[in-house]
Amino acid sequence: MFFAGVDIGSTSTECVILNESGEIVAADMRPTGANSAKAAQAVLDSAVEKAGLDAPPHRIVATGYGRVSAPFAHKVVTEITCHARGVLHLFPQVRTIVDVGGQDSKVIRIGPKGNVIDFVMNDKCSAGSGRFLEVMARALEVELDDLGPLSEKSAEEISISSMCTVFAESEVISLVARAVPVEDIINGIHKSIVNRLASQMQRMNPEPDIVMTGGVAKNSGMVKKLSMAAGHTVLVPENPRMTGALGAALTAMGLERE
Amino acid sequence: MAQFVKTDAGKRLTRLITNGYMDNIVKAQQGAFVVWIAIIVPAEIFAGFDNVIYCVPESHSALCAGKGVGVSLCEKAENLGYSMDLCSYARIDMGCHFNQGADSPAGGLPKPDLLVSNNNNCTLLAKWFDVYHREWDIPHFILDIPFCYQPQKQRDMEYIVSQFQDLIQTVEKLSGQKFNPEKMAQAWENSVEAAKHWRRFLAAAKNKPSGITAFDSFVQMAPTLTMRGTPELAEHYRFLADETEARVDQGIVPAPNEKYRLLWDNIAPWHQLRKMSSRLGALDANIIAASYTYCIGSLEGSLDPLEFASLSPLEGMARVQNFTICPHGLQLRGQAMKQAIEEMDIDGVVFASNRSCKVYSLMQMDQQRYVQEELGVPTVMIDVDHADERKYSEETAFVRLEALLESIDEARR
Repeated sequence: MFFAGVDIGSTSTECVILNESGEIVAADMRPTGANSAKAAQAVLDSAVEKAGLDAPPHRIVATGYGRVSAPFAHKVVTEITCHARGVLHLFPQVRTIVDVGGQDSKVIRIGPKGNVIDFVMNDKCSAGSGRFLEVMARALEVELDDLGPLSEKSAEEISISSMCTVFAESEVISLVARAVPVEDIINGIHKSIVNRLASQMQRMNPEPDIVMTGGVAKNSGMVKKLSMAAGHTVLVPENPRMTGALGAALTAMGLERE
Repeated sequence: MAQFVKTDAGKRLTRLITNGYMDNIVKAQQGAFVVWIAIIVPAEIFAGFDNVIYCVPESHSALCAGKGVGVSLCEKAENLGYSMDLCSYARIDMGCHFNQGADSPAGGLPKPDLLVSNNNNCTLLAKWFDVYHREWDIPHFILDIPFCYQPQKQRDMEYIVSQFQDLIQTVEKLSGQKFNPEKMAQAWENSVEAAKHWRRFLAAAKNKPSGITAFDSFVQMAPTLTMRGTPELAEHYRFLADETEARVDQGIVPAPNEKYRLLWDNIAPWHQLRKMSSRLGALDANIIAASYTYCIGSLEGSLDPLEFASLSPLEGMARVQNFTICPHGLQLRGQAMKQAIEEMDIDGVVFASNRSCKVYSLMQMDQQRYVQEELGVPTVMIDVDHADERKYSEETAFVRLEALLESIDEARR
C-alpha cells in the first residue's frame, strides 16, 4: 500500500510517495506554471512512475494554493498543517517552523505534542517571499542559486529600505548604477527579508528547534541571517521544498488508519 | 452544508430598504430638510421635526459594495485624486456623489442641507464630511464624543446631551421647523423596542446548531442605521426574531451539520457575504456571531440588553454613543468577546484586519493574543477590506480559515 502527498504551490508543485512503513519511495517536483491541475497530475504521474507502481497510490492528499485543483485527491489539507507534519517527521524536536515559499512566508508554532498551536502569515504583499528574491536576482543578472554564496562574500551590508517588490527593484537598480558591489546589495536584500521574517517570528515567541523550509531555505545567506536574528541555529531539511508534500503524504497514511 | 433560503424577513428587508431609499428621494424633492449623518448620530432627534429626513452614507456605501459596484465607485474617487488608502466607504461615497449618484443601486442619496458627524466611531468621517462641507458649502456639525475606556461617566453624558441640544437648535434654525420633544421621545421608544427584538434574533446563535449566520445579522442590521426611531423598524425586528425563533423550533437552521462555531471580529466584507458563507458552509463551518452586530442593543462591552428606564430620551441617546465596538478600549472589547465566546460556545475567532477601518482593526493583535492565550480559543487573522474587493484575496484568506478549522480539529483530539 502506498500513500502520496501533492503540494501545489504558487511556484512549484511537489509530490512525495511513501510506503506502508512511512519511507519515501519517490519524490518529484516541477514548476506549477499556468495550469495547476495539469502540473499536479503530471508530478503525481512521474512520481508514480519513479516509484515503479502499477496503480495509483492508495490514498492521496493535496495541499498548497492549488489544493482544490487536484481531482484525484481523497482529501485536501492546508499547507500549514502539512508543513508542520512533514517537518515534525524529520525533526521531532521542532517548535518553530519558518516557511518561505514563492508568494508567502509563514511562521508556525508547534506545541509539545506536535500540534500546530499558532501560525502567522504575511499579508497580501509578497515582499519577503521567494518571488521577491527572484525579481532581485533578475535585476542583478545573477542566478537564483548563486544569491546565497555571493552574499557570504559581502564586506558591507547595504540597507534596502523599500518593502515593496517593485520599489525595491528600482532601488537595487539604482545601487547597481552607483557601482555598489553586487555581493553587498544581495546581502542588503537578504537583510530586508530577514527583518520582515524576524518580526513575524517574534509574534510567535520562537523557541528552538527552529526549522526553515521552502525554496528560500536553499539560500545559505538567508539561513545564516535568520539564525542570527533568531539567536538560535536554524535547521534546514535536506530537501526543504518537499516538506509540504511529505506532510501531505503522512496525512494520507493517517487517513488509512482513521 | 449551509443553504441559502430567502426567509420572509429577508424578503421583507429588501422591500423595506428599497422603500426607505425611494421615500427619501421623493421627500427631498418635495422640500424636506435633508441631513447626512454618521451611523451613531442619534437619528431619533430628526423624528422630532415635521419634515426632516436623514441619510447614512456609510450604510449606502455598504449597500453599493454588496451590490457589486464598490470597486467602480472607489475608482471614480481615485480618479478625482483621493488616495487608495482612504476608507473604501468614503471613496465609494465621494465617487458616487461627485458623479451625480453614479452606479448606486439606490440612485444615490438626496443632496444634504446639513452634515452631522462624530469623532469617536470613525477617525476619518469628520474629514470625509468636511469634503462636502467645502465642495458644496453645506454646514457641518461635529459631535465630540469622549473615547470609551470604561462605562460612560455622568459628566461625559451631560457633555454629549448638551451637544444634542445644540444640534436640535441648529436644525431648528437651518430648517425653519419647530422641534417637538414628544415625537422624539416616541422615536426613542421605537428604537429601544427594536433593540429588544434584535437581541432576541441574535440569541438564536446560542442554539446548536446555530439558528443564524453572522451574515444574516450583517444584512439585517441595515435598517438599524437607516430607519432608526421608526415603528417600522421595531415591527421588522419583531417579525425577524419571531420568524427566526419559529425556524429554530422547527429545526430549520443554516448549517445543519455545524462542526465549527466561529466568531467574526470586524465590519462585514460586503462584497464576499455569499461567497464566504457558502465556502465556509461547505466545510461545515458557520460564523454564527460578529462583534460588529452583537454590540447593537447592548453597551460598553456587555452583551446584556440595554436598560434605559431611568434615563430621559436624550440621556439614553447619549449612552448609546458608546454602543459600537470602535470607541471601546481594549478591556471593554476583551470583556465583550469573552462573554460572546462563553455564551455562544465559540470554537474559533476570525479577526478580520480591515484595511479601511483602522479604529476597529488597531487593537486586534492584542485581542487575538488575549483570546488565544487567556481564553484558550484558537484564532486566525485574515486581511479584508469592507468594501474594496481589490484589497481582498479569497485564496489567501481561505488558506488561513481552513488552517483555523484544522487547528480546532487538532485541539479536539
